[in-house]
This record gives sequence, C-alpha cells and structure tokens, in this order.
Amino acid sequence: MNLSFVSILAQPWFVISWYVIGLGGAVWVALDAYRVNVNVNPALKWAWPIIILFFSIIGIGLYLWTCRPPHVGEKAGEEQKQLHHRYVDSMFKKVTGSVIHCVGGDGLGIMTAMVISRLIGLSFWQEFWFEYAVGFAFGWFIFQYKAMSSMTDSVPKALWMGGRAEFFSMMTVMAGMGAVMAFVTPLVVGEQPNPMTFAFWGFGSLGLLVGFVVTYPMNWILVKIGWKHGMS
Amino acid sequence: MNPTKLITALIGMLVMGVLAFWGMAALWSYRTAQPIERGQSGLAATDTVRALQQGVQQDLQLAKSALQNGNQTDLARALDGARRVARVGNFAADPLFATPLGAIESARNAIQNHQHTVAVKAVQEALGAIAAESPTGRGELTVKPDQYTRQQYEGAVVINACGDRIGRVKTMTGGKAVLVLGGKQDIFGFINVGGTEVTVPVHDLVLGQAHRLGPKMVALLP
Repeated sequence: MNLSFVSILAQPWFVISWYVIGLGGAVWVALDAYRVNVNVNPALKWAWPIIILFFSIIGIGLYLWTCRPPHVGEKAGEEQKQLHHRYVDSMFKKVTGSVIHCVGGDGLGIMTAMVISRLIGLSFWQEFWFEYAVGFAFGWFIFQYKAMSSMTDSVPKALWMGGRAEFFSMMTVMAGMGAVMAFVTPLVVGEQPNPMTFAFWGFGSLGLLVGFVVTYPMNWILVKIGWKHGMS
Repeated sequence: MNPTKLITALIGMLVMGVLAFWGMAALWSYRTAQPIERGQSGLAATDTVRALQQGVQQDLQLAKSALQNGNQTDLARALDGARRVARVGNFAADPLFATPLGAIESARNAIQNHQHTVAVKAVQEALGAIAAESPTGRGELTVKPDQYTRQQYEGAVVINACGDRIGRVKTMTGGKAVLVLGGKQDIFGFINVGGTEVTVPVHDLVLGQAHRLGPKMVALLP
C-alpha cells in the first residue's frame, strides 16, 4: 500500500498555512462569539476556537455554516436570540454542535497527551491509553461538565450527565484518532513523529478530523436520546 | 424517552463504540503484520551483533531505494524497522549502533519535515556508520542474554533482525524462551490472539528497549 500522497501533511508550507489560518480563525471566532454571535452556548464558545485552530479553513466553514446566522450582527437582543435559535434548530446543526463540543474538549486533551507521550517516549499502546485518559478528563471535567452545569445546580448530577455522554463520544473520537495514528501516519512518515516536526501537527489535525467524522453518528444518538443538547 | 428505546439506543452506542475500536485495532494489526518487501538472500550471520548490523543495513538499503523512487510508505516502514533494531542494538551492544541510530533519527525527522535532501544524506551517513567495524573489534553484547531476569523478558515484543514485529515472549524456562510468533499479538497493549509457540535458546535473543518507558523488545536472531 502506498500512501505517499498524504505526505502533504508533512510539508512545511501546508502545515504553516493550515495553522496560521487556524490561529487567525480561532481568534476571530473567540471575539465574534463574545461580541456579535453572543447567543452561542458557553461551552461552545470555548470549543469553537480550539476546533478552528486544528481544523483551520474547515473549522471556519463549519462555524459559518452551522453556528453563525447570516446578518446576525444586524440584530440585537431578543430578536438576535430568536434568529440564532431558529438557525441552529435543525438536527444536523445540533449534532454538529455536539460533535464540536466533544472533539474540542477531547481533542485538546489528546493533543496535549500526545506531545507529552512523544517527549517522554511511550510505546504506541501506552500512548493510546494515556491520550484516552487525558482526553476523557479534559472532555468530562472541563467541557461536558460546563455544558451540563447550565442544566442543573447539582455538581454530582452535572458530572454524571457529562460523564455518561463523554463515555460514549470519547470511544469514537479516540478510535478515529487512533486509526490515523495506527495506520496512516506510520505508512507515510513513520511511527510517532516528534512534536518538533511538521508531520506531528499535520497528522494530528487529520486524526482529529477523522475522529470528528467517526464520532458524528454516536453524537447523533446522544442528541436524539437527550443526553446531549448540541448546538444552542 | 421510553425505557425500551433508551436501552436500544444504549446497546446501539456500545456496539458502535466497540466496532470503532475493533476497526482501529484491525488497522494497527494489519499494518504491523505486513513486513516490507525484502530481498531473497535473507540474513546469514550467526554472530549476534553482526546479525543486527545486517538487519539495519538491509532496512537502510530499502530506505535508500525508496528515497530514489519516491515511495514514501516503503521509506517510512524501512526507517522504522531500522530504528527498532538500532535501538535494541544500542541498548544491548557496544557503541557500534549509536552513530547509525542518530543518523536514522535524523532521516526520520527529515521525512517528517519533508526535507528529501537531508533524508538522503542521513540515510547515507547511517549506512556508512553501520558498515563500520565494531569499536571493540569483538561485536559482543554488553550484557549476556542469560544475565537478564525472567521478568525482563516476559511480555517483550519480538522483532526479527530487520525490525518487523513478529511475536512476543510468553515465558522463560531453563535457559530457553517460549515465544509466540504470528497471530495477533499485543492488541491494545494486552490482548493476544493465536500464534504458534516456539522455544528457542535464550542466546538467540537480544534484549533491548525500543521506547524509554515502553515494554522491552527482543530481537530474534536468524
């Protein structure tokens, strides 16, 4: 099997452009969600910049398509709120919000753990489980908890509600990420690239994107049964 | 939501999660079970250090060809194989493997930064270094295979002299190692399925460390 065509993810011009656009987009979205598109829920206000940092142009496109109603800046108050709620009301957008929220939290944890793993020299499966644990902790205690705490005053209940959603969504995010780590990266640039290389960041983004796709059906069910509320 | 629908959804989500995990593990298993294309000559050396040296050389020759014909996949696999053997050699033997290992790491870094010319130079440097004579002139292991404890061997990943993962060490008994070769080993780091048990003298193994904190790795000599 020859996967040479994916080697673009190790090319400096591609990775630098990808992350420069991602960083610019993340800053813009962070400001936009606090100044203009203010009805985005608090957990998503944190998750969108992270997603856009790693997904770059794709993330910006997703934000504009699924979360930011056209001309939202021209409305104010209740009218703007209603516009936002109507805009994100479809199942597709709700689930996308749920996935953004999930991959934002888990992804930040996974990438953090991946940097640490490569620096301290863990084997593939040790790294996999370490990333799973850190991704789960970030996703649960920061992002899911924050989202669920807006629905209940009880901390244990918010933790329980966040934990059960995180349990299912993390499985699929990590399976997608793991598929790239286990198969694609080693066949293109070798196993476990160092964080000081372009390949690390290029393939890291690809892993999160695949995780996003793989976890989409799981989040669809989670929204359907009411365990997650998705975009709001 | 009514309880039947909820239970169905929960079962569906569990099945989906397990399938996603299974798919990922299958991809890992498929990749690690496929050795890269090698020449027909095989490795003839019986001397421990010489065998590792030849294994690294063969991988580096493959890497060199892959760099020439632009096959990134063969290049990545060959360099990974060379690195595994060189790391075991560097852990177990005299300083012969230190320079080649450094050059292999440089070549890997170069392809991970898409620097083709640097990679060519590093592979050439590694080939030159691995062909050199052992500094001690003896090519001996720093620690003899029977000086390690049973615990150090058990569970170790077995590679061949070219760095392909071929099995695991099941146990040690009376100066011999019981290996499980083939099958699906080390899935998720703890699941082993199938494979054939083979007993070999402990002197056929070279114990090393492929990762700083990872499990041990042993090279099975030809």
